[in-house]
Amino acid sequence: MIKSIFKLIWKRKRRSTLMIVEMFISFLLLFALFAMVLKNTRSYLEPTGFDYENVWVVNMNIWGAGLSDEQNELIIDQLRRNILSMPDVLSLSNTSGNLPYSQSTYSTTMHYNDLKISTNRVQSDDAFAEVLGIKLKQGRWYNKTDEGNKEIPIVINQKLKEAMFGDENAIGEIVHSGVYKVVGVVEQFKLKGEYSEEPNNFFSRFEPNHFDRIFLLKVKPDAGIAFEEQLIQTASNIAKDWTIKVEPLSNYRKDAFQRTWIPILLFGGVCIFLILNIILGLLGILWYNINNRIPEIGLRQSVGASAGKIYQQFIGEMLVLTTLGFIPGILIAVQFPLLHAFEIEDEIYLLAILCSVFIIYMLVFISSFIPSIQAVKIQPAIALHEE
Amino acid sequence: MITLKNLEKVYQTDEIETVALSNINLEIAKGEFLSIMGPSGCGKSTLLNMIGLLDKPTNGMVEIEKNIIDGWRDKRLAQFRNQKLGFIFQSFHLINDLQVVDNVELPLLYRKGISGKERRKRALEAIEKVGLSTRAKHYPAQLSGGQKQRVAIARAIIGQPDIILADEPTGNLDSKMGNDIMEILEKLNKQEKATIIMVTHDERLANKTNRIIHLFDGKQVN
Repeated sequence: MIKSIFKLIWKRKRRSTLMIVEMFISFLLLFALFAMVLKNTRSYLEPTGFDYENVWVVNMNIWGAGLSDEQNELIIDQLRRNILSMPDVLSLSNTSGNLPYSQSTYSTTMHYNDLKISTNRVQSDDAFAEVLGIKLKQGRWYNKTDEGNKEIPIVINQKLKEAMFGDENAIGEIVHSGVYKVVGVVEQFKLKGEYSEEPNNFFSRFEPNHFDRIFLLKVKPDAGIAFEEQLIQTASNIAKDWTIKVEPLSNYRKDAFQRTWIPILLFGGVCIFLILNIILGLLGILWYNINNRIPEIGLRQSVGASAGKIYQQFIGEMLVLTTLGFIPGILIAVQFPLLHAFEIEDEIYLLAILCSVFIIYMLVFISSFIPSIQAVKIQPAIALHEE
Repeated sequence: MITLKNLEKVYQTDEIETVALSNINLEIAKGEFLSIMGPSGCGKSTLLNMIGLLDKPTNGMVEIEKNIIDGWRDKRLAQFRNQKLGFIFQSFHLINDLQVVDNVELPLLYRKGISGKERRKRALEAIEKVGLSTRAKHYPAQLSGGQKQRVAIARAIIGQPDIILADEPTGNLDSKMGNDIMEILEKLNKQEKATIIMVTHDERLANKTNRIIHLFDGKQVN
């Protein structure tokens, strides 16, 4: 049977090539879509390492008002005290602008022995871990006891720890030519949120008298609009010359989700539209093809083909064509894990290949099965006389 | 070998009821060469389709080799057709995208336990019997009408069926080619002892068979 199918495909080269190209394009589109969706789903399932709920962001345009550093520092201190005194505020942290879910990144290189490792850096005060509920795996978060030390205390994530120290203990290690001292290790910290890959990260304590434009506030769960109004009022009264924006961290998260999913949904929409067109085209071609071959179906029945064998013939032809379309598609797709393209894990690419193959086989099976059923329903005597 | 009792075929549409066959009773013996004659539309091909199990009668009974064909499922019918029946059609019904040898092999493709090698051997033997050995690798489009019909005969006999059903096998051929085809059928009947039932308009060819059945308006007239 399979040999006979190959013979027919070979003889109908022109039509077969069109089908093979359609399958090839469908496979590549689905592969790209699945790779993106699976990568993001997998990222989503991995914890971020922090808690965004009941956290508010106070974003202050400090340097736009033209005040001196001393004036700004006074305002920051006053703001900190007043906000902390609000009954709904549980804790407050001053941090650099690259807060979770934001698009800001502070990339740098960490030196350790002969290693030079690219990493993200977040600067903050001592309350950062408390506000974001960051759990430490080893050591501690930096605090007042680190004041006066020559090295800046840092907390690193496990990924950076493994890159620098492997299985060795990191706590107490002096890195970056004596600039930093590792005081703690966190299990995970995905700065860009759920859908991002975890980069190498380290958190460094603000040097004395240093501050930055972000306050992160951990608030009580029932803090709502009244709190927001009170917060804005308090901040505006103290920092009259600054532009201050207040919003929950969940809004940043929502924006980050949109940044991730909108391109995927657009691409997915285009893919689905293209694949739908291909499937409709395929269905049309198969209807046409099978209708043209009704006398052949009658003949095959007359020489002893059961309905099952007819299905096998037509579905088999399509599955063989589909497989021939997959071969170049898979050859291209396997280059991605081999080249470690886009920093996506090999399993994601392999799973994307499997999902694409499965979906297309299913669609092709259905598209060829339906017209086959219709054709086989015709009595052989009538089928033989169809022209 | 073949018994038809009170066979009736009615085509029913919403408005019209067309009686294609009515009260056909027929006994066909093993090894007989029978022709069915009658004007166009009298039900000759319908009768052949009933005998060939390609269509179901509205009423009556078809019995072939002591098997009463009633309520058989598709798979059993297909198997029976494959093993017992060989068909020859007026319009040849060859698959244009397959070579002659592949067309001839077709019935054996649906028979269990026959290897590809064995299929090929038997196909070449059948092609040789119809005198087309040199055309085995040709495609149908490269053959004349007479040659196409020979291929169809080879395909009908490859499975060594007991019964060959020929629906106007010479209808699309000139008289010379028609005679050639008739000779092959006669030879199959005499040498291979095949039971042949042939629908034809050609009285000259019908006279060469053992018996002629005449149909008129779906009824047997002799």
